[in-house]
Amino acid sequence: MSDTPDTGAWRRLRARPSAVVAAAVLAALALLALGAPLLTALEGQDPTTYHDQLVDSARGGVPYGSFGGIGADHWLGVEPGTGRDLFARLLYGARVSLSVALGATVVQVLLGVTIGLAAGLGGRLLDAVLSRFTDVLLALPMLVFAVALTAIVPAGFPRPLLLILVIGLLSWGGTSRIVRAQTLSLRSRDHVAAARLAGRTPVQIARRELLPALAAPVLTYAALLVPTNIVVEASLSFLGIGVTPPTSSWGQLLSTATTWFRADPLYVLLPSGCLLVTVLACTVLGDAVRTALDPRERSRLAVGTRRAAARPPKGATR
Amino acid sequence: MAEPAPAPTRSRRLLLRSRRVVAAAIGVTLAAGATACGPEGAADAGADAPPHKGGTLTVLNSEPQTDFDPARLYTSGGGKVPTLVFRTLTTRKRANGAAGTEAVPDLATDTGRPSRNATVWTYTLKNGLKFEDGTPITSADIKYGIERSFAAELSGGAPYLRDWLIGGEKYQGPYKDKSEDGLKSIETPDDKTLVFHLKKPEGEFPLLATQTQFAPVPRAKDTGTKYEEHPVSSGPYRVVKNTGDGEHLLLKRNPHWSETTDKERHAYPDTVDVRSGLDSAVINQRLATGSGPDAAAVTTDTNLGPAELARIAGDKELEKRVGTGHFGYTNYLAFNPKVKPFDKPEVRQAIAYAVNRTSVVNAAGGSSLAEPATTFLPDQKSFGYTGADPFPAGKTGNPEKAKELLKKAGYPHGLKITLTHSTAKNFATSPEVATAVQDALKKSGITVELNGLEDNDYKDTVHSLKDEPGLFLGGWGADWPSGGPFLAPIFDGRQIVKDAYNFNHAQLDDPAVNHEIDAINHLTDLHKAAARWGALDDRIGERALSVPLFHPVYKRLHGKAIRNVVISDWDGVLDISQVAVK
Repeated sequence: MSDTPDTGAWRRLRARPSAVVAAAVLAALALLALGAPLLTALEGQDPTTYHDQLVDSARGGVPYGSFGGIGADHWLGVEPGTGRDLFARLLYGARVSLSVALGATVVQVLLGVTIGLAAGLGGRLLDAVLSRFTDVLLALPMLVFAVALTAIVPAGFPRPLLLILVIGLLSWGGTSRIVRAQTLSLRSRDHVAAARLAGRTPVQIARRELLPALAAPVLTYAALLVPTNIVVEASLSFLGIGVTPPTSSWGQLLSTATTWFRADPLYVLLPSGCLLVTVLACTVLGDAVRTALDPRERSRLAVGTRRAAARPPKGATR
Repeated sequence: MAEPAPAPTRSRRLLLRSRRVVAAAIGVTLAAGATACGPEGAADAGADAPPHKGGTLTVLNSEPQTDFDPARLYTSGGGKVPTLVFRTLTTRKRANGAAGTEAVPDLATDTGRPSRNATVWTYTLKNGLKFEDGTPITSADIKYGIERSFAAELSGGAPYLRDWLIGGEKYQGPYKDKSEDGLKSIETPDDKTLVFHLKKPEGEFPLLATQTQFAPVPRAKDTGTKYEEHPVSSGPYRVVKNTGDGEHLLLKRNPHWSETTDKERHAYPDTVDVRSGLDSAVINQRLATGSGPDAAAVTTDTNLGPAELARIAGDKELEKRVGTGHFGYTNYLAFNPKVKPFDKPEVRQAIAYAVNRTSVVNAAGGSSLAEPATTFLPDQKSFGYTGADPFPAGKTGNPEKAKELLKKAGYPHGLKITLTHSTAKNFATSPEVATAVQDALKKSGITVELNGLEDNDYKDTVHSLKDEPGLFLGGWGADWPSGGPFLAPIFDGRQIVKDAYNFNHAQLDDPAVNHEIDAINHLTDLHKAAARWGALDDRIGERALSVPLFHPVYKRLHGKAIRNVVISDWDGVLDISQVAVK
């Protein structure tokens, strides 16, 4: 087979301008986050140093100057009340927000695939137990549970890791359901049946026969999980149980910024803009990946092009 | 917020003010410019028009007026709603600023006559006092009101009566104790006279007698825990409606109240409509807009936040409608010297030198909402404020001096410590303040790790003798404007509480300090007492058991049609009994 589904998918993905733009945006964000120490050094600032002289203490600590104190020293202005550099806090915040979101997604996918496969391939009892457990997890009010979990963990535990674990462990239910459903439908296929007759163990079947077929839906779903996780991190930080100060994250920035929307609009617009762009890019890319990996989509596209080529020019029929 | 904190017995103001504490320091404040007496001297907006009788005053609050029972309210409720319904033996003087920190007669003819070294206090009631149903108020009604506050089911009041009255620690309240005399340390020789017998000299008894527990309650009308639904009024208004446990209170004039017996309350509006359970942003927005009934609205519990202040600062019309108040309150870093390395005085002093009060004040909302503090006592004359600064850190801290002291203490290469704080967004014990402290201490080579706890968890931890951390953000407010209720609960060794909330964070038990507290309590001349409290505060301050950070200032909006704004330093809140609506 010269035209493998993978390369076809890749080509179709690249053919979509929206997908390319979204990927470029995400890559740029990742670069900015990775290069945070370099970029802030270039600016000559760091994310935690207070600048008392840059805020108007008598007016509630609003930054001096227009647009939240934007200038040559502080490229995106300073934080009200503290005078900390906003550019630095946004970049360092991106590191936390993006890594927590990606880490949590990895945990969710690993758990979801494992449990979904076990439920789909295992016996009736195992399936029932795992499926009901998944149902319970999906029904749990995630945020409340996360608040409770983060409250009982000792203070010394690194917060970003804790957030990854809490988000990852509490919301793998969706992935697991998709994987189980897919597994159930694949199980009755001939090649799986043949493998089972050949005496392969369920683990071997899962690895060699099922996982390749599961890749498309799981990848697609994962791409959509990332933005959700960014938002969950933001909400947890908003509730004050996210990262510990003085570490910044987009959620932490937003949580302190909300009251400032009138007095210092830029302070609110920057973190929410970052969040919006990231979530939008992830969603667009996720959608593009789904379409590109979908075999039906491929044929539909192909059919469409052939038909378009075969159809005579509009004016000719008249 | 004057309702009691939940379970613990010793729940004082500290716990009651976790709400957004907001403050200000508009130059020389109203306090300085105000005349000593009454509304005519009110230096606030709208004082030009003479007060007008009638109309409806709307109160927009975030906290519901729960447990509207004089036995259950914590302290006097200040200028807040309870003062409209409950009169007490004495009350605060309704005057702007420092003049409002005095106790003046209310139901009694004077503020009390001490004898036997201030252990016996005698009061005589005025003539012509009546309840809302027209029956006369007698000394027995006041005694009964105090007795009720000892009943376990009517908890919530401050602990002073139990601590001070002879037999107070054993008395169970009138529902359990059916004896003829009730609490024997309160005598009522006739209908007009009350005699209180105290365990030890208490020169500040007249200040305690402002609390709502000193309001009369007619025994025949007492319905126990249901009394809060319709308490019998002795003040200018009576409760017409109380829905949702104080969420909506409707007060109308009490026809039997007479201004001739009450010099302090004015009661200009005919109706007072208290709406609570509102979001603070909503309250401030409604007050700023002031449409319809909101024009004649005030709030007694919602401050302007820093962001709201930043917006108002450019608006002349709104600026005029902001009332500034000072309440005796201090926010500080508390040390537990039982925990290393805070056992070393040099370490504590180093931290005192390292603190940057400018960034801390900014974290608390800026210089309009907080004033830097160097003494534990609030910066008011009535507390005996001396202005001492035992470890001068300047405006932004003194890292050199701090490093030098650390070296002396045996930490030449810096130090790593943990600071415990609450995660509540209250601008007082919140992460913002903790982070500002963290950043300042970094410059002195002290690495601070933050331990943010959920607010209830935080309170339980820092007030537990067993779990108390070595360093935490604390705050303390005055039950009345004097050094007594400020220093005694924190530094009196006999007030270390083992099995409930403990406020003596340093676990200080120094016979000299305890003795001086007792000696000052002998004094009935409160000006002399204030000077002694100030001196005691200076002496304790030198031991660096806490690092005073800031005193909050209140900034509150009121509606366009509000006249006669009086804000005393007793509680820093606009006095609802003085307000008139246009």
